[in-house]
Amino acid sequence: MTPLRTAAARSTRRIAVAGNPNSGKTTLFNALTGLRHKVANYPGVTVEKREGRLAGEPRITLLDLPGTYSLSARSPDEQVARDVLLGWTDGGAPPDAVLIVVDAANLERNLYLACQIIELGVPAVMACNMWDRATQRGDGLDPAAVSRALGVPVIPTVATRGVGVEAVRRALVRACGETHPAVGAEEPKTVPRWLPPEPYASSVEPVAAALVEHGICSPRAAAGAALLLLGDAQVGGEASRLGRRLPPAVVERVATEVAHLRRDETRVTATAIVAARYAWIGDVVRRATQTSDAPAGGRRSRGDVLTDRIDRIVTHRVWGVALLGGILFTLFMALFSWAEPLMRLIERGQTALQAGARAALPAGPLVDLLADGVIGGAGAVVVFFPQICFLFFFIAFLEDSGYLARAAFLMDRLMSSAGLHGKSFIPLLSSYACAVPGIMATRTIENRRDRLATILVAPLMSCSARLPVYLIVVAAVFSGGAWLKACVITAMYAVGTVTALLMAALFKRTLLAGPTPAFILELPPYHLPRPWPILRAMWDRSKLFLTRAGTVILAVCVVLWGLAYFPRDEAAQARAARRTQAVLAAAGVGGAVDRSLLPDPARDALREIESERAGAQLRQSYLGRLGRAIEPALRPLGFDWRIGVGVLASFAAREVFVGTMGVVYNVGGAEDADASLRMRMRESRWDSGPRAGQRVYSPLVGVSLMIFYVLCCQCISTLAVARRETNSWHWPAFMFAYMTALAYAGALVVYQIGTRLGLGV
Amino acid sequence: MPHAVFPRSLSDVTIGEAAVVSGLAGDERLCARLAEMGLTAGTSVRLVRIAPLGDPLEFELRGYRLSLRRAEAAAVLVSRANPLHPAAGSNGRAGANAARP
Repeated sequence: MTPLRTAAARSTRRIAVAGNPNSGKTTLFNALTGLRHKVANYPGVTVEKREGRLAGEPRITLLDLPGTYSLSARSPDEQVARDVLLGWTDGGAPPDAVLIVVDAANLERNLYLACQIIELGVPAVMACNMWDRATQRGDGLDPAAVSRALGVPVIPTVATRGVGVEAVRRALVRACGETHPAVGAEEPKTVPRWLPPEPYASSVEPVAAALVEHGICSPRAAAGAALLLLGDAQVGGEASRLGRRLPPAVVERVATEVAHLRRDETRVTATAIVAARYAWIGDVVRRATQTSDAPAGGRRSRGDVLTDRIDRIVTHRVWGVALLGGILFTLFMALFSWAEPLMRLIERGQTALQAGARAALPAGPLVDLLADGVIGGAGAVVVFFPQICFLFFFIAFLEDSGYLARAAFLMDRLMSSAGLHGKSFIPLLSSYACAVPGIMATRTIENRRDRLATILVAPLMSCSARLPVYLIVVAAVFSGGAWLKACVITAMYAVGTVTALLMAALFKRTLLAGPTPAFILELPPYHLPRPWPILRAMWDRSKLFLTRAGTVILAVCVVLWGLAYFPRDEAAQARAARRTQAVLAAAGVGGAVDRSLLPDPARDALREIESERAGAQLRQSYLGRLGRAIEPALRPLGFDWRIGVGVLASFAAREVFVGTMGVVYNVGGAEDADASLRMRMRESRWDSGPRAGQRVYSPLVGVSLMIFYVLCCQCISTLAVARRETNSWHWPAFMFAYMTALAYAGALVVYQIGTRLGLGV
Repeated sequence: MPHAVFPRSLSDVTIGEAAVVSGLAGDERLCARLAEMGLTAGTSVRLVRIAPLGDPLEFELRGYRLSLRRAEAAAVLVSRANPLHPAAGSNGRAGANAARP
């Protein structure tokens, strides 16, 4: 812990923006910064950190804290908010001022957090947001009275319409201008606002003294900080987290006082402290309310009435479920179909770039690395971008309008049967399209264990990249009608979904066991989302995917390219070059020509030569050798070495399996590659081993192979995103290990039991 | 209205019924969290609706809407709201709207 630095030492002033979720905090932040801000994560946690400059004040920065209901450090969001306000982050100093945004129409609960913040002694300005809604309700609140009671300026605002924004801006500049007394200097005593009951009050003092003594808090923040620490330690479990941030002497002091409080007969619990604060807040609000006959909130605003009407439909057992289905269908349409043209465009651009690189540079390993490794790898990243943008647009829209909370309300019962949270529903569903945006969508889940469980099982939902694998395998091994093939593919989706829910339940009972996290969810009033903030949120999150996950994906793609490229099969290269020359000579042309000008038979011959060359190269590359080496391990699953090569090559992305199988069977560049690959696969026979000469692909092997792909984690993008979202390699490594084990076991069980029973052999 | 023999909790309230929180009982962390959301003794709470699958529940208190699972609602002990004093507790907002079916 670095000693506290004085704020005056810094040239720029920092203002933290704090408030409850749904208080319009981000809207006000956007209005104050003019939508210009940087997005990053707080170190060590995936809590979004947004920073921007106060419009017109180049030397004042605003820091948007995560929306929380309190400062008790029970969730990462709350911990970040507390640590920033107390200067316990790496920066080392508390902010120069804090802007507290409260929902005026929901004042009592919002004032709870405001009260905790004010107790920390940072100069504060309070924006009473959604003032219009409060006025419509006829609350008759007097801002001046609230200001007097709390000792901070209170400004009514309507952030969505820009009302009061300028007043807030001026108040913030003023708050920053106030001379910030150095630590230890004589400070004005803060008025006691409410008093914790005895013996709590006498426990606060020694903790506060220890905090000041170790230079962790300024004297004016110490009492508030001590209250927070005591409350957290009383409900237990967070001692280790405290231990890492605070010197042992302070932790010990907190523990002593908590033990003391537990022994005391009056049993003043953390809950009692919350109640005491609320009682005081109730008093403040009553005194600040002008209409004495009808206490706060007698009437309902137009928004309240509208929200009730919408909710009657949205949470209806028939209409609500139908509406959810419709919204999800639209989401899928966006992910599958609307993103498709953009993805094709990116692929076309990638092909053009690769061709351009080949044309501009002399042939050789370097240009192959650039074209196939680097450009191909970058393409593998960028191709997800449209889907991710669409998903984040939808989520931002649903979140901003207030619908996302209702979706969680509707689906929680279903999700809780698997030990998950209602908010896990959307991420898991998005994973049918792609696990990458699905995992990124888990950010809306506050509880760490729920979030991890959702991340771990999301890749089990059959994503769009598995579909090409299912399609080629089903086409190769089943000769039945279309309905049989459709049934088999549907079954694969079902297997993935059921496994995901079972694994989630298992993880929640074992690895991520703990008290069932509460489903405490505010259902905010609906409002019409505004386009710019949504687009901005979409862009911010999508960009993080490109910069963070993209680099890992690119690196792995280059490594895989190298494994398939080296060592070079010089004999095959030379043979191919000789035969190419012969074909060109027979066609009556020599040297470099535009191949599209060649007669058809010559072009077909050239393509066949190229396919054979690529096949020979892959077979004897490191990847090919690895495929042969692992054949004994794959034989119990019914896979031969060719499938082994396909499985290895598709480590980075499942859909690569189809292309790799094409190369393995020498049909890489053929025009009707799919049809010929199907033929080759059907005719494929074992080279060696006990089943030498028998056909490789029976329906049973096909099912075994598909089950393998349902359950395996052959997707480096998923792993890279999981690393980004969990901030360690630990969880993605576990994800890969358990899914690969599951895939192997699943395929083994299917093949072995199938063989014993004589099914589809 | 006669007093219930065993304590009622928010999970026993019927739709549209307003009740007054009398205390919290159960896991300390959960209780602290529920209290922070405004479910302190004396607060009046109304059950607005139940999700189609029977869980969770939607409540109105202190002028806002909160969703809790039955298991969590069971930690909030309540007594029936006194119809003569709809403003009982720190806020009468929920009580004022209790007339709707």
